[in-house]
Amino acid sequence: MILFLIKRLLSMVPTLFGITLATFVVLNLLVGSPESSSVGEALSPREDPGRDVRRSYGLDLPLFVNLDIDDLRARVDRAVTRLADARTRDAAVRDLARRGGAVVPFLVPSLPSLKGETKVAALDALKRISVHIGVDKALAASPDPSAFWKRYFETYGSDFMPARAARLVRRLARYDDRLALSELRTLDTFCLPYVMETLGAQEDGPALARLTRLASDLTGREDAVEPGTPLKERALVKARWREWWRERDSDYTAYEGAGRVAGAVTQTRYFEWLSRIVTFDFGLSMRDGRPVLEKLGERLPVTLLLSVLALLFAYGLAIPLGTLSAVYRGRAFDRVTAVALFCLYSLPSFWVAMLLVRYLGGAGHLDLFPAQGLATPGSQGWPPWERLADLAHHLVLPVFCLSFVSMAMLARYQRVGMLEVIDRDYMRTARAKGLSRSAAILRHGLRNGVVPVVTMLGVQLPYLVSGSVVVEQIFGIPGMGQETFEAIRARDHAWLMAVVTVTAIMTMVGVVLADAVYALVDPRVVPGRRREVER
Amino acid sequence: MRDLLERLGRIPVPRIGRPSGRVRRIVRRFASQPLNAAGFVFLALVALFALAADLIASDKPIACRLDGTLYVLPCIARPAALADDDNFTIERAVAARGGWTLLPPVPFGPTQAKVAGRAGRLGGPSRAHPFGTDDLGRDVLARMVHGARSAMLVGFGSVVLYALIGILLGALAAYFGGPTDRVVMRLIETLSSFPSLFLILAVQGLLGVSTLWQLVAVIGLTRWSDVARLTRGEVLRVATEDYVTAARALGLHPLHILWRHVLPNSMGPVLVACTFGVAGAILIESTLSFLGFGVPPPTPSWGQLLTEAFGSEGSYWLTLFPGVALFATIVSINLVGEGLREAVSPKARGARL
Repeated sequence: MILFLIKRLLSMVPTLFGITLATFVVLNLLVGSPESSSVGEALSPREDPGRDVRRSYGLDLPLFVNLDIDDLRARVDRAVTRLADARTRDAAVRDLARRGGAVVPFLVPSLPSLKGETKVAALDALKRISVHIGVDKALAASPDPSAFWKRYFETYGSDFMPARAARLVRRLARYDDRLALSELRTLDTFCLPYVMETLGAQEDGPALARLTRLASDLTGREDAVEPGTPLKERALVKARWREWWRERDSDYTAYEGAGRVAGAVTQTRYFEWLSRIVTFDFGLSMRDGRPVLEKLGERLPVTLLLSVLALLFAYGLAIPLGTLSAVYRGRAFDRVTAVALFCLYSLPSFWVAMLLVRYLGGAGHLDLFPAQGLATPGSQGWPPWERLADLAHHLVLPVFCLSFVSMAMLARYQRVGMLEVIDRDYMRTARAKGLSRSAAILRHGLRNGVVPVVTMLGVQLPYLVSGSVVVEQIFGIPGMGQETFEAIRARDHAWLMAVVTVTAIMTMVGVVLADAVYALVDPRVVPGRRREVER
Repeated sequence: MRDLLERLGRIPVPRIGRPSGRVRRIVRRFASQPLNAAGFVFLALVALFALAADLIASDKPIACRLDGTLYVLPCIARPAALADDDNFTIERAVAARGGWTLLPPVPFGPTQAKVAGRAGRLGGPSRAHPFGTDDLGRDVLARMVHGARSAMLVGFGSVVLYALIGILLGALAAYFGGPTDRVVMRLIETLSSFPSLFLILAVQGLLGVSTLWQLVAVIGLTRWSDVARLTRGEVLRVATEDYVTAARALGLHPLHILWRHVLPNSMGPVLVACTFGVAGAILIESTLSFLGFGVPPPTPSWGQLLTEAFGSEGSYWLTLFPGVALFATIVSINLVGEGLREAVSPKARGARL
């Protein structure tokens, strides 16, 4: 049995892979018109203009394998070749200067090999960088810039070491260390990868303030927190930096050795997407700039509450109805229920919801149930039980609309399931040993007759989640469905992809759970057990 | 030996593998239930409305003779000479200048807004407009007749598409087994993990522009998993039957066996599932249109009529008639589906009304 469950769990892995692949394909097929979704972030003079939107989807990366990694080293090399051409020289100088101190360890050693105008241009770029790394005065005082840079790199080249930068950043984070800060400023953008790494994990307010301040100064992308900024705002700033870094890490990082080999896989569009799913970091919603995960955390519980209540209602009504229909097979009760269930099963739920809102929701007719939202406006100050009653009152119509189709279907299956077992020998035996009819049906019949319906639990979940879009929209319930509806209107890819992925994973887990329950209720489905049962 | 095989090859394929007799039996069993027949007739009627929508409800006559010219089917051909006319201007012209005109039973077009002096906005049912008019003064009945076209096209079109994909993949998985089977099974499991309306909504929303055919494609490409699973199971089941063993013993090519003997005999349950699938697709179409992500606005659809109804309080005819049409169509499809289920496998009685 345990082996079966483990096997079943393992079979989730390829499916999970399939889900990520499917959403990835959808994402890549559909992101055709990126202009509609630019976040509208102002570009600072130190930032790379253009290509912005393409990069935010990783469209500059290959799909699955990247053998030609575009990291800092490659970008500097490319810029240097562009320096040689008079037409692209200015742009290349600007590009190098914009990248700041990070290019020093790559550009300075190549200086001696450069000739003529190219060398002049490279020195020009370095001159602009010198302002950032704090050697502009020394450079101005030096008669031969190229000799100055040679000397500079001999003396300070060893400062451009990843371990040192990381240590300095850690020190800045831990203590308000002026010295570390000034050292970091001389490294300029070289320390950015470590700033980002530490920034992402930083909870402490003042430390975060120092790090975001430094990052803002280094990148020219003004987004810093003050020590007293509230927690929520801080999380938002962190999320924005994470998004930014996700896009631009290869501008400031050089992949060496093992990192370069791994980069063949990691520097791809699919990997970017996968890493988002695995870390549940779906980025920022394009609609309101908030982290998608945070919004999911608000919306998902509402939808889950609706779904769970709908499931309870559907099963709670379907099992007795189906059982009674089977017991009274062919009689008036069975016939009436059958017709009613058949009609219920064929009713479009959005139409029913609409009619209920109109005729029971108080729009000039019966005012039995509130038709909008989950709480009466101004109910915050009420005592808890009244608020709970208010919530229940608001939930009646939505839950009914969400579940009546499932209920009708389940009741029909329950009837068939019961008919299967009701004439079995063991039922007759139960009666013969003196059990009353109802006791026999309840104790022996129902236990077996309910199995097929229980196994449909997994199928119900995607159905209910789908239905929630309609129901939440009509009843104005602030759940996942409503947000999805709005997201589609705003073409909020981040939210849509997150929601499709999360619901798919939820469904998959639901199906596996249902299988497990099935195996518990009916051990015959476990392949290894079959022989034992037959024996 | 060769001689013997040759002679064996000429033995006619056992009749039991042929579908013709089976199909006739199924049809007879299906028609023997009056409810099935009723469902089928209603569905056929809706399909007829969908096919002949332009003849039933149009702003141009079916035929007319005006100023010595005979126009045949201007409601479909839309001749340039009559571009600015509708049924009523033509009627007046005929009365004044002679000729004749044959109006369609519903003399309004589906997108024809307020006709001067005749149609008011949000008018209740009247002689001119038995089902009333909507907020732009368009005739609801005309829109419903043309809405049947959207419903039927999406309903049948997408199911045909996903049935083809599903049958192909399911049969291949069952036939080849091994790694192919595993891959297809994972594909099926992956696809069925997505809540279908969410996926379709997301794709529709991200694609932006929407046409009926796009809707057909999106529904068709995202809902084949059930058919594939069912086909695979049925093929595996049928493959163990004696007549398949017999066909194999005759040395027939496996693909031939699959095509001629296994598939025809495993299509029953698939057909049933597809019938219910049509109802599902129509529901999806109307739900999407209701939410505003279905067919683009001027194209009439039942779901869209219901959206309008949601926006205009007090006009019951906007809610009632399209809703009932949708409901009746779904009921009749489900009746046909139930009837087919029973006709295909008489043992599975019980789910019957």
